[in-house]
Amino acid sequence: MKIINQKSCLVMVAAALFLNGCKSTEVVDTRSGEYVTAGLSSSDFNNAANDALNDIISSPLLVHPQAAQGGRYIMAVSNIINDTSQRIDTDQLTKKIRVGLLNSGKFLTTTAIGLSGAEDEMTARVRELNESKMVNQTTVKKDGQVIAPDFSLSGKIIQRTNRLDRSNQLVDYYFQLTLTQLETGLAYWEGEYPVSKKVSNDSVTW
Amino acid sequence: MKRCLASIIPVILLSGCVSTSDLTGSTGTSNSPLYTNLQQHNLDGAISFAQTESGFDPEKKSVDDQLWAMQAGLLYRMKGDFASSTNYFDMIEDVMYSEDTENVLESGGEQIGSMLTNDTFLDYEQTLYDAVMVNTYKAINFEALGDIANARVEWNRSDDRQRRAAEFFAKQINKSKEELENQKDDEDAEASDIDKSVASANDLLAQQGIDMSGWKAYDGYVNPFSTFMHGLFFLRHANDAADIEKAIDSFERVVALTGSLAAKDTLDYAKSLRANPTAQNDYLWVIIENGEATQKEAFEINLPLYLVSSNINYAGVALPKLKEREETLGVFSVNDIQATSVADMDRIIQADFKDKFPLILTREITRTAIKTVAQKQINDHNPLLGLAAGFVQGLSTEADTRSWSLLPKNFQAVMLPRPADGRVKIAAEHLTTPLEVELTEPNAGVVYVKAMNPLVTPTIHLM
Repeated sequence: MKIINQKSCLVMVAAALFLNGCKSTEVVDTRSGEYVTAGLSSSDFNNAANDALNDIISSPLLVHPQAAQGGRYIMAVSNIINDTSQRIDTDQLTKKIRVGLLNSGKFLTTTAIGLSGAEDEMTARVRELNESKMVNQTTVKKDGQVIAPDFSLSGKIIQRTNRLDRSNQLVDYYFQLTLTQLETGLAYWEGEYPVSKKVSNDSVTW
Repeated sequence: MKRCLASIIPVILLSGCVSTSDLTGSTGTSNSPLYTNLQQHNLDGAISFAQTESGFDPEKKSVDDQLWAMQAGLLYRMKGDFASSTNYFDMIEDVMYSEDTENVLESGGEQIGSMLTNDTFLDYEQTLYDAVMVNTYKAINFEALGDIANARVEWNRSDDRQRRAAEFFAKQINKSKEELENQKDDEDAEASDIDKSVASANDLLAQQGIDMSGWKAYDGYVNPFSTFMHGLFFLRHANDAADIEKAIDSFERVVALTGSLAAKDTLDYAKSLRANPTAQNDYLWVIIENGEATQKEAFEINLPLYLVSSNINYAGVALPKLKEREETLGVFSVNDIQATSVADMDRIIQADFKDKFPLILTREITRTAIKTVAQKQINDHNPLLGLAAGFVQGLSTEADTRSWSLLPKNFQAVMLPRPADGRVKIAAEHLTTPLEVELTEPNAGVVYVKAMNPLVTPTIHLM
């Protein structure tokens, strides 16, 4: 009887493991707060970008004088320094802000001018067609039409990790962003959005 | 129950006689395939050997053996293939993470296995200095590739590893104490018997000339080489004043720990950049990885074992000890300016070993006690089996001498004004021919040399 019980138990454990193993892929809601990672996750980028976006939109200094007539400021994306211990693509942050600003109707972003060259080189490349016999020259984009940016978006993502107690560490991240008015070099807007996480001290955070 | 256990033990011992790999003869000895290849100037052969030993799986992009993967990563660096080197070090970090977060069941299983055999049956557990050096090498790999953004990430990782250093050692000391307590509770031998054996061992070790009293870690368990290179990165690639302050902090720390002239000169230069945080290309730093790090080697001693019967039995225990390797090249000079040491890797390794040795010793004594009791019981039951068990015990007594043997003995550095003719002459006391370097890349500010011994060709890279 004892042997049968042990066998039954083994079968049940095996079945449980098997069933558990079947659930390999699932879509999760990162906004629910159920999934907290030591590193920066998509919800951290979302939250920081949304907060920054709301602050920029509500800033009285960033209202175009001809806003009612469709006037828009032009923004160039400058350098966002990743000063964390994780390999992250800083576009995750800037893209969300750009999309939000475009949708708000306050800013347009130039892809023709960037710190390390154009984000989209096509603006310059299409002008090389001005001697092409193949291309209808009246459709070739003219020089002197590209619009220079009014503002530059720069920033830094900083990480500070400290031991909390014997088994936990506190990881603080700071999203620091600045909008510089390029005419004067003055920062018209700055924002800092901290995120703190309590994680296990067993290993490193990356 | 005891009888049952005693009969099971030899079976396990016999079936488990293959340790992780033949490590004692292949990482550090001069006749190992690794060193034979290096001495024959066959770096590719050395890489191929290390790659095979690491169990590299190109499909899964993983390695089985962390130690050999670290050797492979460093060999690729020597070759100047920084991307492949970083790939290996990235795979190692995955293994390190698994080791750090290994659950109780896995760890317990390994420990039981090693109790019946020896420490080489445990997975190689990275030392703190291994982890710091992995991130340091990755950072300078990225810097050499011109990937400054990823180099910054690796420097932050290296910095975090250093921060964890003191915690790591404190935790390890507590863990050792707990393990000792657990072992005392678990084993058949009385607690006091193990203590008596350990006390005897200390006397015997002293008689063997093993004196670790002079071994002392750098304050805060810092690796000053990593700190120096961290400072140099933030000095050369500063984005803002905060980066220059980071560099100054690092150099101040290295000066306090080592008094190195290269660190003092670089600190002064960093301070001069406070007003304008853009480093000019006026200076050159030559970094030399010199010699070969101290190695572990095995030795055996006969210890009195105070067993349950209170009969005193003597049994052989195998233990690792450190053997410093000779300074074969001596002090370097660059354009006749003498280099100064920015870190003594031997000192870092010795301090780490000193902290771990009490646990290694107690584990080996406990293990020998278990085996000897089992052997005695088997022998009482069946003398022929007892003989076999004795044979197996002899075979399974082996010290764990694994270590990252390609690390250098020390790191030396020189800061000098950038030579007008772009030529740099690097000489050392016992280097037959000085190394001539031409600064072909106008933006190169660091010449990085690895010189192991007079038989292995030094490697030179610019970044």
